[in-house]
Amino acid sequence: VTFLTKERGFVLVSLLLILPVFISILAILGASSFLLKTDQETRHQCRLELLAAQKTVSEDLARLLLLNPLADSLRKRRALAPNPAALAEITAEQMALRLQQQILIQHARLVSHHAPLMAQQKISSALNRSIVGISRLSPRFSLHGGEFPLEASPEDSLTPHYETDRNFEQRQAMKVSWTFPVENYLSANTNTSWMKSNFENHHVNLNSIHAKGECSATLQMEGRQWRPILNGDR
Amino acid sequence: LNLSNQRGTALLEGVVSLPLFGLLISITLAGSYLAFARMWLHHESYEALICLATTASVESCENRLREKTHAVLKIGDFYFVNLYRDHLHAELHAQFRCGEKIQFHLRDSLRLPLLAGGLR
Repeated sequence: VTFLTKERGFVLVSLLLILPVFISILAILGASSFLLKTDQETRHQCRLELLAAQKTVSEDLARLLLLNPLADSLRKRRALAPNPAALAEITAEQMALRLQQQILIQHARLVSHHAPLMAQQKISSALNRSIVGISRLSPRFSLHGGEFPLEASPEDSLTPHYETDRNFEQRQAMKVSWTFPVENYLSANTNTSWMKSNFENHHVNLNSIHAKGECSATLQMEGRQWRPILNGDR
Repeated sequence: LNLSNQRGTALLEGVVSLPLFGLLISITLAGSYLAFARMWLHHESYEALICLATTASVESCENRLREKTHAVLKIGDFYFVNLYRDHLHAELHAQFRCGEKIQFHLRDSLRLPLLAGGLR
């Protein structure tokens, strides 16, 4: 009887010795799975938001460029105005067109500027859905909006002819990048907090490991139209 | 006599159980590596498709896929990687091998442009 008890004890002790190995493996797999899922979701939201914003900008741009023939014709008519009454009539038409041009330009610039901010909110929501308590995660964001750079000629005209800047594709690029320590991720989630304590027990410094993500989108000339496209390394 | 018997039993059991524990740990480690590899390969395959939908060249997307995979998966290598894109689709077909017998077949595609429902 004594022998049997000791044999059982030996097996039990051996199992207890390898138990931390199993738990560590499970913790690493679980953490990786959670992080990959979160990474995919946040990138997805970011791409979707920036592409949608660039689509809106491309529509504004197309409408603005469509106004060019009318702007050109009004400038020519103004130069040839026979009398002050005709000049006043043309000026009124120019003012109305200028308003349309400015509305399109300002709207496109507003969207270009605010899109990264909207993307940040979507990313935060995505993180919030997968993690309990976004405030404890404290991700750091870096935002870069599009400039919507245009060249107006002549610059002093009421209704100039607008063209895209030579570096439009680069200058219109919107970019959002974010980072947070993996430690915050694991401790913020009730499902993963046990993993954090397991890593800490094995002296793994999670604070030095950062989860990073980024996405960027711009407009690219395709055929004769500007189309939204995600930016990549050439 | 009793003591030496106990020692003998423990030694015998150790000789029998240690390889078994070793085997158990090996299987667990291999299984975990393969599970993680599968997860990572699917993630990177999707990212490669997204890369195809960007301004990047097909070659740079393939290099990126290989580099990112090699950086994380130290065991195994791509047997082949085929990336293709046209105006309507981005496609990936690849095979990753861990040794001779374990292979991961990766086949995925995205509709382009991404805003027309390609993103998922």
